[in-house]
Amino acid sequence: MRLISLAGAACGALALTLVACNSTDSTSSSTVQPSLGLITGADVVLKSLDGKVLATGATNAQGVVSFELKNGLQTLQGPFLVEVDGKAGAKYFDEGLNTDVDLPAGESLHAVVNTLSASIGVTTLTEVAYNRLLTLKGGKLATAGAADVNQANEEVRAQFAPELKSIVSAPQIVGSQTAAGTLDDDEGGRYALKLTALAKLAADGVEANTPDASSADDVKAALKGQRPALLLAKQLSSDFATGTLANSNLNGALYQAANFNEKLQDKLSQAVQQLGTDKLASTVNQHTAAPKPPANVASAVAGSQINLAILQTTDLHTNVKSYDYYKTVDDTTLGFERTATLIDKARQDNPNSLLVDDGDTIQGTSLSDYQALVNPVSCNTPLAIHKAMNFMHYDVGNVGNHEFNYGLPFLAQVTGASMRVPGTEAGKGCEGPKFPLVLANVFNAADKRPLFAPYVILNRTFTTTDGKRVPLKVGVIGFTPPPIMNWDKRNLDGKVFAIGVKEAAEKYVPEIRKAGADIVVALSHGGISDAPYTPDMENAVYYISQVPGVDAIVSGHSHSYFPDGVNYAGIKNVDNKKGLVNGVPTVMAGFWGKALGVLKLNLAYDGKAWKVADSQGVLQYINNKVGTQTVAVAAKPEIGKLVDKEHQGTIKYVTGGVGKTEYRISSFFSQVGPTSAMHLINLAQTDYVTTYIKANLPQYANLPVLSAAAPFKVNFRGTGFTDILPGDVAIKNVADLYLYPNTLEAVKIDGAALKLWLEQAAAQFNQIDPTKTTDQYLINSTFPSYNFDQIDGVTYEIDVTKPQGSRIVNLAINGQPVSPTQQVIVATNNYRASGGGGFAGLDGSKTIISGGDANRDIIVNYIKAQKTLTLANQGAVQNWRFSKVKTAGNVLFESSLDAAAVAVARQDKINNVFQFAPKADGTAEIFRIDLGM
Amino acid sequence: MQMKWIIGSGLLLALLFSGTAAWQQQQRKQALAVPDFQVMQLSLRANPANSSELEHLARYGHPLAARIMAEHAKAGGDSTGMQQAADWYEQAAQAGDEQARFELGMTYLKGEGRTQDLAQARHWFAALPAMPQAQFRLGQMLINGEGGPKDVARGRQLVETAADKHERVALFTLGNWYRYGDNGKPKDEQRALHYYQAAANWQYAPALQELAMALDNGEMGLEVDTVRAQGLRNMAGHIATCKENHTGFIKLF
Repeated sequence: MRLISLAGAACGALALTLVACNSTDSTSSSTVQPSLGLITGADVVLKSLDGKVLATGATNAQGVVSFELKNGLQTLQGPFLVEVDGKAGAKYFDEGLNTDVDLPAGESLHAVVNTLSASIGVTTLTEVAYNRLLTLKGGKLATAGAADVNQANEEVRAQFAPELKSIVSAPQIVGSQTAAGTLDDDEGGRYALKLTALAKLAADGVEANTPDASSADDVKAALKGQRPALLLAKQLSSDFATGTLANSNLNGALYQAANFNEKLQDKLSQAVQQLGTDKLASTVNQHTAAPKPPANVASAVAGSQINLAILQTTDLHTNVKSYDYYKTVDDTTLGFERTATLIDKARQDNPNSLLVDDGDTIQGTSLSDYQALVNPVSCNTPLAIHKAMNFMHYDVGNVGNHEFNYGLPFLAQVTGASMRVPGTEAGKGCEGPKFPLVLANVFNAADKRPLFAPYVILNRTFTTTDGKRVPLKVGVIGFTPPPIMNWDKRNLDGKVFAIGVKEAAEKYVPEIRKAGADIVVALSHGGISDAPYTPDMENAVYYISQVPGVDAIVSGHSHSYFPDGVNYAGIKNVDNKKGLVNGVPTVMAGFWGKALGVLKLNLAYDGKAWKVADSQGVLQYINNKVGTQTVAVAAKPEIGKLVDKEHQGTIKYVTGGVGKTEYRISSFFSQVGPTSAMHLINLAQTDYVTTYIKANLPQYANLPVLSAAAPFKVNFRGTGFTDILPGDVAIKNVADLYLYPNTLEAVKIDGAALKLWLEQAAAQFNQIDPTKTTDQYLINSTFPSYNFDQIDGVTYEIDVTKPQGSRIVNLAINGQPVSPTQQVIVATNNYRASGGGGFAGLDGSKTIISGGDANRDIIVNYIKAQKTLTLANQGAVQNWRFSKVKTAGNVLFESSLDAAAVAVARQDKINNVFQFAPKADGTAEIFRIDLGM
Repeated sequence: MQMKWIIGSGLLLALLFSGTAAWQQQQRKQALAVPDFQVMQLSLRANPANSSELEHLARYGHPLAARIMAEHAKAGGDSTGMQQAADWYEQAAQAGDEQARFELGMTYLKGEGRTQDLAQARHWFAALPAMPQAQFRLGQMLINGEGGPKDVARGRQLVETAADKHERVALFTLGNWYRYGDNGKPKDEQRALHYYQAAANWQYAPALQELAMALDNGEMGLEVDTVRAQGLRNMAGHIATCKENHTGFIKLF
């Protein structure tokens, strides 16, 4: 029986007096700090073990309650029971869900202590110890003595929190307002972090056990009723009652005893990024805070070997489903739902595996725009891509460069990271990846600390080649290309800074080794190049491989493949068959989910350290040639189900109206006259370029702004026309009108070049002989319609009786003939401006505007601004026509079978086309054009 | 007495003046002595002190520092930025930075941040005989007689040499020459395909698009393959809007 103190004992003899003893050792108050996360409004009852109530109180807004040690309390001998009771109005902050949860009557937490010290914690762990004590004493709590209490508390400490001095220490209390970096490497901070990690583990478990929770609009709401942190406390209590963690008979278990320590280590890594100081992170990385591993795990001995496969995805760019959102059809050449099938198989084939992602994950399709901009994802649910990755149980992920495209607040929210950048504070409480993210070379500009965890050390257990389970500490570090500072300058300047990849590797890899990692895997969002190293180098894998202590590299960013025996051939010290860069096993698995990288490592333990004895990189593709066919692997159905709401939402987004049109927008006659369809493109482009020049190129403000557009869809090989009926105009419609994902470029050219441009386009036509009485087809069917540029802002005629090169007549601007030397600006696209189609003089040298805005987006924005397109404002303008000529015979061309086709022509003021006959194969209607009209 | 003052202050001024000039020389010498590697580390903006150090080095004539200042100014994307970029490129070009010389040439060629001056553009490209990008541009200018007299034969040769050295725009341009029978080449779709594919392997978006459209429509003797076309089209779209350079070699063909 432990005495409080000699003085206390002496005082005890006088306990019946009401005079307080002045003992220098005795505390005058005892503060109880319960935590599952912050607990407010709960009753706290101090009892002796026989149930006698000694004092009562309630937790205040800060979550604590103090008991004055007077009136005999200070002299009483323990043990004591501290009980925290829920009731109406009581709440606790569930750190797994990051939301306040009711703590109703009937729910209690207990701690058993031998003395009433200055502060006492009542937590998940003390609850486990309380239940352990009950079991030790056969349910008779009153019979427990100080030694029993110490035994129970110590068993729990040794199992779950060896980094603590005592589980009845007071943890720092974490609530919704707790800021980043609050928890330091002291008893209170360590304890708080342990509780955070337990809560996170609990929430993951509850989500896994609750059908449809992962695909809920509000995951937090779907789960909070189950009180994850509290539930875990109960399950651990029940499980550990025997003194070992076995969980074999637990229904709806939130965890598996076999990998409890691994999972908790992952959660500690995530928690310390959000709440801890660097010192505390160090403690986590050294595994000081790791719980005891399961009993069947042995230490490795000299000669032990592990065959470990590192499974890799990279540059997924939110291609969760195998789908094309512009065309709203399936696209089985890409999609994580198919890569997932490969992951399942690879895990079957490789019993020891880790699944990693190398970044460029959260941006890249209409789905990502939908979730970032159109219908922004809430804090209470992860991004669709993260839902899918959570479902596949990724071990760790890297941050690429496209992660920064939507800005830091968004990134903080969807990754749940504590960035300590103004505007990103809410992030750490949000749903996100259940796996840690790493990034070693980007830092907060104000406090100079890394924006994400620079590395994590995964606690894993693998089976050796001779069947033994051994622990392996896998250090994982991540890198992103330093030029993000230019690419995303607006989002990042002044807020963060980058350092060179090699410098970051040299800084942190030794630290990872020192912390006790057995192997180190580098996730480099960068490719392979042996160009001389520079600190701003994107593709720095070659130099990472030369940093001592790196055992394997996962590469990405370049959208290429390694090792495939084809790419990265002929580079010094690069083996593109085995997959080695300067002897370091390396893998790069394409992009958009097209491939899964499988980096097979044969690890050998020499008694002191694990080394890579052999390796082989393998690429598995979701599309494979079988004979002459390309066959796609099956999609994993659960993935599609998981993200169906987001998927349908995105489809609605691209098929929903961005504006209206009062008239029909069709490409039926875009090869034979000025149509509203082409005019719409040109109006949008002209508007954009005019605005741009005013703002940025005032020296050109006096030059005429022209615009070129060409029809993409004219039923070539029966693939149909663009045909937008009156009513809503959707993004999908615009993507049909403007079929190629070009970016707008504007060129400055002279009149001579302008005429040549139109001549080149006019090569679309056959030379018509007006004297011929037999039918002549107007259009040369081998001429691609996308080269029939029509230019707005000028007026001209095309004389099809002339040979190619001499057909453009009366080219004028505002009625004035265009002089060969006068300068004009023409809005077009990156393909045309770079010389696509062989248009004379265009080779990239004439480009004055090339912002990177997609032509499609420019048209969408124009329509949004107009709200409704009317014939009066946007209808076709007859700025070009064929030179009038009477022909002896019919001049024919093909167009749409649509019954209303002629009406559409008339709507666009094309009055000289008439139905002639249906085409023999039934795919088109032949029309006659009267060139004499 | 007055004379003495005049001479005295004159001497003092002269002394100050030469002192300043000497000081400038000293600063310049120190600036130029900073190795490129160190300059690049400054460029990643580790802290405000680094940014001003970078600018200091640039002002005192460090070629790489000046070029990096140009790139930073350009990254903003607005017209003031373009003008500042042009000034820094000029500084770097004068100090001997080759990439800056090329960029300055492009600035004058396109009139981006400076008034268009084709003669100046030609001058800077001609100063880079070992840079394929510059030689391609010079070649085109010689063919078109831009910024100076025409020399079609030499221009065509420069374009072909640049293509041999994997200059992407040159490869694409040669593809066009063969496809359309331009610049003295015969119409030869097979050779055109070869060049387009070479440019596409260097991720040149217009070449990726060219091949996508050809595969969609069965042009240049290719079998229609809408699936492959879709893949190339998507790649072209990603690259065109992406801020990264996407200039690495991927053996697509």
